Amino acid sequence: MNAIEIKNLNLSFGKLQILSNISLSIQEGEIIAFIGPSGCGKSTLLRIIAGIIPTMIPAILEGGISIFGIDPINLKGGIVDMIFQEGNLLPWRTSASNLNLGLEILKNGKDRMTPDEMLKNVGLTSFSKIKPAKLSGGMRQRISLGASLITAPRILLMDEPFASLDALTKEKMWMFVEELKIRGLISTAILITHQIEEAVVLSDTVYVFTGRPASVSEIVKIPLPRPRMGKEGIINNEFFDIANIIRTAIRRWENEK
Amino acid sequence: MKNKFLAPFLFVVLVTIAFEIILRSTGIVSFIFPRPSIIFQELLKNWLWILDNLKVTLYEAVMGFGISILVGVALALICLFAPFLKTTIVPVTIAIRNVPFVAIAPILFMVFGYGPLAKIVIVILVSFFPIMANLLAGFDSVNKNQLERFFVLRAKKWQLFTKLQLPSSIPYFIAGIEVAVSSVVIAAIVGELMGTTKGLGLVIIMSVSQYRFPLLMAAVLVTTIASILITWIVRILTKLILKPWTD
Repeated sequence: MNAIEIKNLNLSFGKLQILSNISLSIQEGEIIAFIGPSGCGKSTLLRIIAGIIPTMIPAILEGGISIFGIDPINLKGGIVDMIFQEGNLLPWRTSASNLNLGLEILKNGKDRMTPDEMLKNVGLTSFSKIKPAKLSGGMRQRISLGASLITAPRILLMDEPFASLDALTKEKMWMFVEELKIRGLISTAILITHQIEEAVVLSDTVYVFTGRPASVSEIVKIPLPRPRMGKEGIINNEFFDIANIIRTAIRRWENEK
Repeated sequence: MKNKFLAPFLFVVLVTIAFEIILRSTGIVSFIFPRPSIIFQELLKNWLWILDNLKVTLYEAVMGFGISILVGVALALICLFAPFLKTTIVPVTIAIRNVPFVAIAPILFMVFGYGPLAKIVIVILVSFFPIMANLLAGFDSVNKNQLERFFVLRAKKWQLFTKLQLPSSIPYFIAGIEVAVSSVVIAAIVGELMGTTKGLGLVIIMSVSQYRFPLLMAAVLVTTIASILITWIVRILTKLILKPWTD
């Protein structure tokens, strides 16, 4: 069974059509990247997968969508988790307490990592009692990732999680996510990004979207072995070839417009 | 820390000295504009009587303020958990807030008598609104992404409330408390001015009717200091109690 299966999905808010005839299937364990023009509807699609639309935000939804065979609206908690550009952290909670939030809500701490173990995993053991305001942007996103991964969600949805970080920190975060993936802490994941390099480093398949109403214009497989991001940076020619294929796909739509 | 208090203290001392010098040199009679030294003398002379009345005013202000917090929080919670009532509660409370209580004072005195109860009601009418309105703004201020994450984790309604909505609204609540507390002493005194048997309002009424302006100024001074002290104490207490939820 596929982790996520979407067939001929259309979505509109009133008369405004956002998504047009989207079909995709994502296998368990795959990392997918959504890339496309700003405001095309990638985040909207992510929120449909999370069940937020149409439950929290009313919309007209047509077509089929299932997460492990279940309609996202009927999913129980803990199957899916999300991380955002500004992170997931509650400003009044310490790192350890933020890591514990998911466990508190789901109330199934059994067989889960403890916040201390997760702090070790994100490499911030000595920051257990520190509140987010005193952490750097990179540290905050590490804790945010840990806070989502502590409940071992089967699908992790990432909405431009590293967009506000500086270039160097961003590359460190890519290495960190790759490491989490190799160690099996990240299973299936969808990453929304505007950066082609980020998509190529982190994902197994890139879905290129058109502008609004968004549809998938190209699917690019990335067969590179992991880790793709070494300490020396990216030095693989194949990497740049794939990045250029994606770049061309995005520009093709821009030119056709 | 020291400088924070030193500068305003010095300012007050300098202004007092300046008034003393100006009033002495211009020869304005203390009957019309009493010199600070005469006000202090009057204050010391009538200290026990003023203190006795101050207690009553403080009791009205503090009681009214305490109940205001309860009323404000309760109304905000009702609006949060029963949104269909919000459209009724908010306009009605705005209307109550805008009723000139000088006009309804006679009714309040008929119902609650001339004792502290009527003044407590006036304090509540004046100060519950900023607490309620700020808490409501706080509940609305919850980060949209966090709200979505709580939904994705399928958090229960009470989990959403205790772990996200309530802590998010704490800074707003503190702001509401600070606005509300700054007017409680004056509300109690204005209530007393409309009819009372005790309180700083009585001191003011009596000193005006007997043309004892130094005593009047002494009462005004005590009122101001009491108001500042209450605001200050409440601010420190709120920050201390709510410290774990502020970042």
